[in-house]
Amino acid sequence: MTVGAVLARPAIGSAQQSQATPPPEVHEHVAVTAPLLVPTREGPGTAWLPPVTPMYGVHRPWRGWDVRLNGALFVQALYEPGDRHRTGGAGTRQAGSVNWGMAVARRGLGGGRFGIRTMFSAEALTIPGCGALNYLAVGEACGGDTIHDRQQPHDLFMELAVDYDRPLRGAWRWQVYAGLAGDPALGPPMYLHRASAMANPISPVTHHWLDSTHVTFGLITVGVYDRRWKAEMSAFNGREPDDSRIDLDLGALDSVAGRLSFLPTDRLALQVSGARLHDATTNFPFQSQEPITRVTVSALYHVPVGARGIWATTLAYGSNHTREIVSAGVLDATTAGALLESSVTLSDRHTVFGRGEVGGMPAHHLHAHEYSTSVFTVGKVQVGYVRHLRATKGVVPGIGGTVSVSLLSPELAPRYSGRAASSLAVFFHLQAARHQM
Amino acid sequence: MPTVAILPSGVSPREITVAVGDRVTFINNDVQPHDTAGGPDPATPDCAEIDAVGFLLPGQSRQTAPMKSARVCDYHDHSNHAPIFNGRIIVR
Repeated sequence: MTVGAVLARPAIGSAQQSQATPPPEVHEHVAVTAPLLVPTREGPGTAWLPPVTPMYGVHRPWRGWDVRLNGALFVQALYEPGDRHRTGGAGTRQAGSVNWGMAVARRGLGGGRFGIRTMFSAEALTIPGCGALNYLAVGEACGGDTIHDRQQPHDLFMELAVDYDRPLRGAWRWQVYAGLAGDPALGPPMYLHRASAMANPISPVTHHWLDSTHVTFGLITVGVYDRRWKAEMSAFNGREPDDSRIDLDLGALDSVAGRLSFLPTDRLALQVSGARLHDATTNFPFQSQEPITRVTVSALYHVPVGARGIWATTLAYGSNHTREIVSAGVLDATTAGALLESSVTLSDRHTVFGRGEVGGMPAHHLHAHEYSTSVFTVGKVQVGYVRHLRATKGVVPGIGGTVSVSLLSPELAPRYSGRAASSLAVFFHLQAARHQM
Repeated sequence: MPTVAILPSGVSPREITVAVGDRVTFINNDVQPHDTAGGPDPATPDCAEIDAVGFLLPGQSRQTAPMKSARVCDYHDHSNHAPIFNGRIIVR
């Protein structure tokens, strides 16, 4: 479940704007106490969303803190009839639950604001096998093998971090974000927190070009920002989590990232980021790896639709360059992936969503070992719908479904029973209601 | 030419001896696909020449790369980890 919190202390002196004229990035409070403690542009980690983004969850003052709880839960049934080779054994049907919860608490401190940020997932218990069935999804390890064609469960601890920021000069502020688990300054906002993906239980296959570092065990980020610009850098442990998903896989902070974010309007959030990731991927047998150089760019565009609706779109591109030793030699390549996803929610009742992706997938990531030095172009197209039901006690139930088609090269086709491999999912969804004070 | 057949009952022969420079042909005579790779299991890949066999649909066959040096090479089925699909190539 999602649980999140944001905290504010009444009228802290560092507020950028007065409460009489709340800035557009402030979400809708019934009674605003300290709006800048909860800017709507605030996404996962230190990423920015368009300021018009609705906020979800429960937001309450508590003993001088401003607390926000947020979360989401899917109970999904997945069907991928063509599979013949995925990690953990070929499988075509699976029931499970994708879920997360977060709690954030903030208060004024020393002329700035201090926050405690946590995020959890129970997927280690609710997703069987080596992960949720998901053609072309790759990354991390399970049972002594790297994962392909499944989305690995998220770790129990997705975020255990604190942040602090305070005025620097004029409209500029500085910020520090650090923790045992968290999201460094790399990539677009992770998909779980993108309005364009919130109703979709299926993770993007471009995850490992874009936002796969969203659960990083050990990080520190420093940045400066004003109302429209943000520049930040992270030092972090870029190693993938291991397959014990209830511990903290701490390691040296030997990966670095930098991100520049820009909000040209309240509807648009842009970012460009880059990183040097050390020992980022799990491999067998374990061997020292060349660093991965990752570059991402993205644009999130959100348009309010009526009083209770939003049209959210994300366009993102990422590239990874590395030199890997594979069975047939050396793969020295830059691979890239692009994503376009969009979601329209009308009157908080109906959500229609879609996603299209294309990328250059190293064959060995899909365990096509006979082509281990090759990179194949693959794609995936997905559409889905959710019918949201009446909210009860701050939680909105919903029922939905989605279909997708994975597009494969001729060399990969035998592993998927054809060049177009279909997937189907039906799901029950619980989501925190739109934010209320 | 040295040949290993993949049958519903497992690989046959389980152990085969070849000379350095030889290739080994794997033929899938099972009704299920198989995915032959070098090493005793996915966590310990070895003898990369065997990875050239890869994914075989029923009825398909493919050769290893030439075995480069004298040694003992285990292999496994990367999609079906049942021990009956593990075998050994002895290169002399």
